[in-house]
Amino acid sequence: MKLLLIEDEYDLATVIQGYLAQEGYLIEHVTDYAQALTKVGLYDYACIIADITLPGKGSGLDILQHIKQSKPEAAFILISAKGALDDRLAGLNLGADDYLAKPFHLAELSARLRAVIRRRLFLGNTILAYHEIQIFPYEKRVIVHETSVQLTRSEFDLLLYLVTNKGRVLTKEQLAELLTGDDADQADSHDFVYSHIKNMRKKLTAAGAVDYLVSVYGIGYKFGHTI
Amino acid sequence: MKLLQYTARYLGWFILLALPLTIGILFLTTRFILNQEQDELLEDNAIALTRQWAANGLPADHVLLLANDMIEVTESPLVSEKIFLDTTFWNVDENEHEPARKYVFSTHIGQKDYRVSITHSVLDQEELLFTVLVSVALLIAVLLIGVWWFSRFAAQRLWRPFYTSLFEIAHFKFSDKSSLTLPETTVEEFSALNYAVNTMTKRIVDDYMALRDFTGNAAHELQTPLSIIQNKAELLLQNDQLDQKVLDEIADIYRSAIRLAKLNKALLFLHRIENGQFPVAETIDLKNIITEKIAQWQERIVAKNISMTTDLQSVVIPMNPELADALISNLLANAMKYNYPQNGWIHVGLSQSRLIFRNSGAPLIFPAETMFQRFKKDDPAQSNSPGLGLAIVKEICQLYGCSINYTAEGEVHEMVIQFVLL
Repeated sequence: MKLLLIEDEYDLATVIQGYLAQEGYLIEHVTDYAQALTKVGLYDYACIIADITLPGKGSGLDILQHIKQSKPEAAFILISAKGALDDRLAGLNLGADDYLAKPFHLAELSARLRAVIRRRLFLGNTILAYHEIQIFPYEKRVIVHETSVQLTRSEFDLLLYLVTNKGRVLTKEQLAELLTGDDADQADSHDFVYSHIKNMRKKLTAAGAVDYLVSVYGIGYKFGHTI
Repeated sequence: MKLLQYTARYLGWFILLALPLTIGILFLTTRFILNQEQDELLEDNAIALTRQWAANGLPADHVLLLANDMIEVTESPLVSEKIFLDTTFWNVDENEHEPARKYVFSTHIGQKDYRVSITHSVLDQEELLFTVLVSVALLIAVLLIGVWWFSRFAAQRLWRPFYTSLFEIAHFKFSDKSSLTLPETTVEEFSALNYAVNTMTKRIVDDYMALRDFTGNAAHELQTPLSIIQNKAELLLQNDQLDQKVLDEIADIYRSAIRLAKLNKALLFLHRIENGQFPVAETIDLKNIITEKIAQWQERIVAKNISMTTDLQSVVIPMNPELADALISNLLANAMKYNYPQNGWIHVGLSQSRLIFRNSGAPLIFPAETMFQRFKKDDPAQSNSPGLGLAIVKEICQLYGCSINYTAEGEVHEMVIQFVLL
């Protein structure tokens, strides 16, 4: 699957590129408006990830506007250092599929990217499966060995995030932020994450699923067999 | 007391002292001059009399009583001394004492020496003096009181630009962005003062803006390098070739980067509030926001076994939704964070006039006034928090002109926001 990254910070672009390449994406990187339009004119991309603030003429929002006319089938994710609601609304109003404020977790970007592409390609009718665990993202339902598992909203969000980023170490901070949003500066939020993980694990194994969750000492958790 | 009142008071005292003094001086000088005149007249009369007596001889009576004069002649040795003195005169017709002037001199008539005294009634003169004095006193009094009133009135008029400027300065806020412009005035001193204040505030506002922009820009520019640090550390954490010790160190770097990013985010948020980047485009119901927030936090509230009670009225006010969200979030986070680890309670009250967050928690170990200061680290155990939550709350309250107060009584902590009529 081919992606286009428009980001003027070379270092940041390299990290994103590296991370997404590991996920199996083919990713191209340009640094400004003009290059972006040339690339978009020549090739088709599954998703375009653009920074709002770019050097020279034309911002990420301009690129978005252009692409919505010329290549409406491409998904679009905006990233911005501003994080202001106005920017977010402007972006979403122009037709962006998602918006991420810097700094963000790479796993978050990857999860959003997956969700956006899934929505585009399969119109939402998709099942995420990991061995015997089947997740229905839009119905918020989990099935293990054909029996439905009753998860709370937070437990479901955790499982979805873990499965989407399977094989990767997810830090406690990241998971806390997923559950509590921006208010994650709570001293007790790690205990909170821990108790949710514990409950989710209990429910899944009770339904007969293998315990795929591995705790990575001092850092966080990882979903998947291999360590 | 106002400056005007001071000047009026001094002027009043001066008038009270000056008025009797001037009248006294006037009285004395006028009388002196009148007496001088009278004495000259008496001398002239004396010369005429002696001349007459020298020609016709002394009158039979040695005491001569006329309508307004009394002349006494007594034999006595010649004395060169002439005496003028004030005395009284018995007016036979009017049957009363009248003020009089007496002239005593010696003369030589025939072969004998005489001492002659002429007493002349000065009643008319005294009456004249009295009339003059009263009218002059009245004149001066009217004049001085007039001056006093006029200066009061004029001062009030003249000081008006000063009070206008004072009002402007008192109501000036740096965060309003516009610099202070005091009105023009024709009074040189005030216009110099206004000019000085204008330039001074302009300079201060410029410096303040520059500093604020610097903070904002710095926080903004930090976002990208922070992203890089955070994301690179995140990538390294995925590397299973590294041993645990290295991974731990990387995890520390990663956590610090996250903390820094959160702090930076909060600073940027504050900067945007200060810059007025949250326009009020709609009205919101605070009750809905509080109910939503509590629902969002429900799992955490249950996890800490906090008993949550609410008493909420619908309060619809014009407020930016993002700020309303931040306000309620931070207040709720605060009530949660400083609560007991288990089995505490929180009460939220909302009425048309105020919003109250009351919670249980260990007694305060630092002064309550420092509560809203930025980066206030009250509790070493809370070192993960940037300490900007309540600063944000205060900034939002200030933006909407609400007052916020924190009180703690033992284990009961209370945060009260008093609404203004929006």
